[in-house]
Amino acid sequence: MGLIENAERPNFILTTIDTLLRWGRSHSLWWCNAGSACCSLEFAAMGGARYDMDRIGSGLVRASPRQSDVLLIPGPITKKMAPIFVRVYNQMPDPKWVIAMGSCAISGGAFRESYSMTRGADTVLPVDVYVPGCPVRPEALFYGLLKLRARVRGTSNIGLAHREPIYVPPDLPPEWEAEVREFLGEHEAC
Amino acid sequence: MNARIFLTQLLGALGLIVILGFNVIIMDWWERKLVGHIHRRPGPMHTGWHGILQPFADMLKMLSKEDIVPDRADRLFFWLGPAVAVVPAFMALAVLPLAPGFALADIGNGLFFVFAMQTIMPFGYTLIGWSGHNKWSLVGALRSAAQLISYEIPMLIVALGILLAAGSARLTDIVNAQSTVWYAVKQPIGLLIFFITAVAEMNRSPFDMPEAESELVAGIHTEYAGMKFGLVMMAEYTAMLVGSWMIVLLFLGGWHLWPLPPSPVWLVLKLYLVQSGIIWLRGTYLRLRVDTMMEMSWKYLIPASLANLMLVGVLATTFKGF
Amino acid sequence: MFGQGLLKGLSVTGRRMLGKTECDMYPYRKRVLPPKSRIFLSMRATPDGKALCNACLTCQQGCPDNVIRIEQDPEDRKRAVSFRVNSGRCTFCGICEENCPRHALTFTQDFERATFDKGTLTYALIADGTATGACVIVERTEPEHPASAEGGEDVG
Repeated sequence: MGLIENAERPNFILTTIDTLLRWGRSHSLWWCNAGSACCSLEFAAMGGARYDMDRIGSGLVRASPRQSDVLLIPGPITKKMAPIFVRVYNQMPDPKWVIAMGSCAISGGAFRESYSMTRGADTVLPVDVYVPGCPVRPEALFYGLLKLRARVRGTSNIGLAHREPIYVPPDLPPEWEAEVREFLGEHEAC
Repeated sequence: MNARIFLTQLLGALGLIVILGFNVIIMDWWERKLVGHIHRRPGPMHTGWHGILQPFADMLKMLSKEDIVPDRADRLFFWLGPAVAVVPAFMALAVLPLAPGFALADIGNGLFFVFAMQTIMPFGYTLIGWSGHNKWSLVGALRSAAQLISYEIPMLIVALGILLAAGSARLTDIVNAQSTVWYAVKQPIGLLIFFITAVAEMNRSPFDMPEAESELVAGIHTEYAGMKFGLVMMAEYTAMLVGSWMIVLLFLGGWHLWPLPPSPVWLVLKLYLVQSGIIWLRGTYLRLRVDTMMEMSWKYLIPASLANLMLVGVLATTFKGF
Repeated sequence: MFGQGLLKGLSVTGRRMLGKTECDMYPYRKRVLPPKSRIFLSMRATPDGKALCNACLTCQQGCPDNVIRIEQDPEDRKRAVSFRVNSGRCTFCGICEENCPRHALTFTQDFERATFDKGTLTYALIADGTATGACVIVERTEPEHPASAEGGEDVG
């Protein structure tokens, strides 16, 4: 949807469409659960009867990243898995958001000193919302989702140029280079 | 053909499109609501009154998503796939009557037309699955083709029993033959088999092999993003509408609700009851394994449907007016 | 046998479908959390901004995740100049609370701490020698020892 994002200056029609789009996007944030560790179970509890994220339209956890809007990182990212996370993020269509859930995804948490772990999801991905906790209570994640929703609702898309079609982590370690570059050749935004 | 008939038909077709869109919106909301209540959770709540605006929000979002076509995908068929899946279901709607003779084309062999259109749908699913250049969606497509073909056979044999009893392939005649006693009462085995095969034809759970999230990533539409995914979902909901409409017309008496006077209201009511029942099945049962599913069709449903046909034949020749 | 289980399943889900929902309606109604739940670290302090902490560094040394950073006053080493908690690393194990000899540390039940900025997850309990707003206000400055008050059940 380049029409809104590439617009130079807003006019009445564009702002109306933009308001509608912001409403629609904020009320239907579908998940892509990366499921890297135990916080994923709390996420599953949030879909259950007591918290029920489907109430605000986020109940669909799509198995394919192509159909999801929010990438949830519920746990530590190992260095081996990190290129795969970047790849999954790149496979999601714009607009997309990332939620880092739990201490491990925020800073490495208990695995911070380990040789095989990245120190937080933000070393790999552009994280939007950080939800602290170990594990995060389902309500706390719900609060994070509501915050993300408020941000999606409140941020105008006009003049907001497209993000780069391929996200490459700023300090790309040499051993990922091949993996991410291979992906560049395979994938093309239409 | 004169201009007046042409205009009427055109308006009717546009009306069908409206019905289709309305049905998808209603069913999307109703399915999430019903499955939620089966899980003892309220489902969509805060988007409009009890989440009634939820499908609109989803639609707006899907329309505004980036439209990704994988680089190695077959572009033509990637675009064509959802259309090939949607259009036959939509064309089948053209002959399905809402009231006596009130269809876009109340043709003499409407029964066969609907089945012919349902036979094209596997092509759409196969195209969807194959064109994305993804191994999971290809497996899903092959499963879909195998499933739809093997479940068509018992479905058609059961429909032959109806044809035998009603003596006409015109859907209006079939419904009018059940003005007092439905075929559901006369051919209960037929109804059971037809219901199972219809659910399998719609690719609904427990037969949702093409979209088996636990085995194939998202099945046939793994590579579909944005509104093309919305189209695939639309095809599924339309197939559900056509399938349950056929169940209502062939077995549940269509617009007849004896002893009350016939009315299209009964038909719509039954239609949505059947669709709710299918959603109830989805909330209850687990997905079948591929081999058990194929076994069920070839080992049990086809012999049972042949036995049903034989029984109906004997009864129809023995008793007048069966 | 013969599909009885299928019908039973349908009856179970059908009853659930018609029954009451069990939802907390989170943003509108909040559930009372279990009393032992540890969510965010806080400190007891008096209304005039005097924290109970005496900068003994027991919590900082016992912390497995290096969450707590205490800066002692160089002149009075029983007084903390700053006490910072990086809750982005915390695993909420509760070792600091158990080890605190003055029972100054405590866990609150405030879980709504999701942020857009990782930096705000680090918060100060003591800044410039005075307790901040993140502290729990208590009346008494002297340490309260719940175990001894209840009749000497202190195991340690």
